[in-house]
Amino acid sequence: MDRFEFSDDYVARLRSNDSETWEHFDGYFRPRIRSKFRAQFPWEMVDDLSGDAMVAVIEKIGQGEPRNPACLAAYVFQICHNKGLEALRRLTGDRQFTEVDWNLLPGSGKTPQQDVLDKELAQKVEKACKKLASRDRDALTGVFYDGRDRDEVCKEYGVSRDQLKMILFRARQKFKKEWGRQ
Amino acid sequence: MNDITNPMAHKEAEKTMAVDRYLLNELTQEERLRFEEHYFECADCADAVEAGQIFISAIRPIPESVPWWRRLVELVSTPVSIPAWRMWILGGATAASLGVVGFQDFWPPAALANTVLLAGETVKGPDEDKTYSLRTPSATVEVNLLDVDFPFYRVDITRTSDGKTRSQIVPAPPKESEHRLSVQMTREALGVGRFTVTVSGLDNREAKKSHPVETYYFRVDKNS
Repeated sequence: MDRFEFSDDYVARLRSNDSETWEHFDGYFRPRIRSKFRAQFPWEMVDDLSGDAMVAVIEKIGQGEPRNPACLAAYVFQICHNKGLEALRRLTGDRQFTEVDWNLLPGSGKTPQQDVLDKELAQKVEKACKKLASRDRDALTGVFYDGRDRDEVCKEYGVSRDQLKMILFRARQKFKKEWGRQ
Repeated sequence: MNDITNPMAHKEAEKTMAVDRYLLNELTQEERLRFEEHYFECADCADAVEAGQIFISAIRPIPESVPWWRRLVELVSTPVSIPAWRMWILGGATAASLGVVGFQDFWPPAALANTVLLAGETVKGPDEDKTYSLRTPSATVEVNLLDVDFPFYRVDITRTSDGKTRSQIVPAPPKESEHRLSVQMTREALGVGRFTVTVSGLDNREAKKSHPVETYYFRVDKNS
């Protein structure tokens, strides 16, 4: 497991506005924060939520938090978690809340990062998809593109739910290679 | 401040295929939080999640540029075509104030050419032949819940030809919505056939016993 150790010195450099450290901080946390919000909210909201969370984190760091710098990642996660809960409360008001799979909301595939859906990336995804067996590709598009019931998709393509996870796993690996990020 | 105290270990994440289950939204709430806390510390898992999310987003259709909340308002105010495999259940006036109560994946798109929706406009009871032609891409059933009071409702849409049913449990709509539940369906979602829409009250979300409130009948025919 590749884990970055946050130290007293690291947090001190953040507090002294060291640009290099802030650059690292941004590169480290921004993708994680975005991933967390993407998993729960329409992608159109992710930029705003991530921005809010980052501002809150920066303020808290300026105020001397977290007390244990080694826990910085968990601390940032907790702030994001709370921001997510606040956002859900805003969306649902005082009513009872039904958990909504925001991933499946129409339009949630639209990313705020236009580069994510640019042609180059689409080509990489297509390339990764082409390397999959047609049955696997159809099963994935059935689940994610057509939004079909997973059990139905599994039945249609003769795969189990566990195999579906493996198909997604293999697809991710192939895409990661194309994507060129490690 | 940190009240999530048990982040998932990397070995556990690997062993349980947490990344893929996370992307497939198959983790429990507790597992999800534990895994999220883990990938805030783990570069491998953070990269895997990010790549997976981007991969999934890119194999989806590129959506229209209208914000999702505006589409919701339009969905309530006028019948519009919404993605074929979606059924929305909106809480009456709540829907107008963007209160999404829930939604449900539905059947895959059927062959749509020359298909119109023939729907019984809130035709209740067993008289299935009282249908009216609605030449619109979608239809809404307004269910009046004034006489009953359950904390949750279940909406079942059943295709009578094969008995295939899809269900969605939603919280009771707020009082300001006049206790109405709007169930909106599109012809694309339904495909061709006869359908029943049954709304039942539930004493709680997990209740096994339901109390039918209303049943409606729909028919979707091919346009000649």
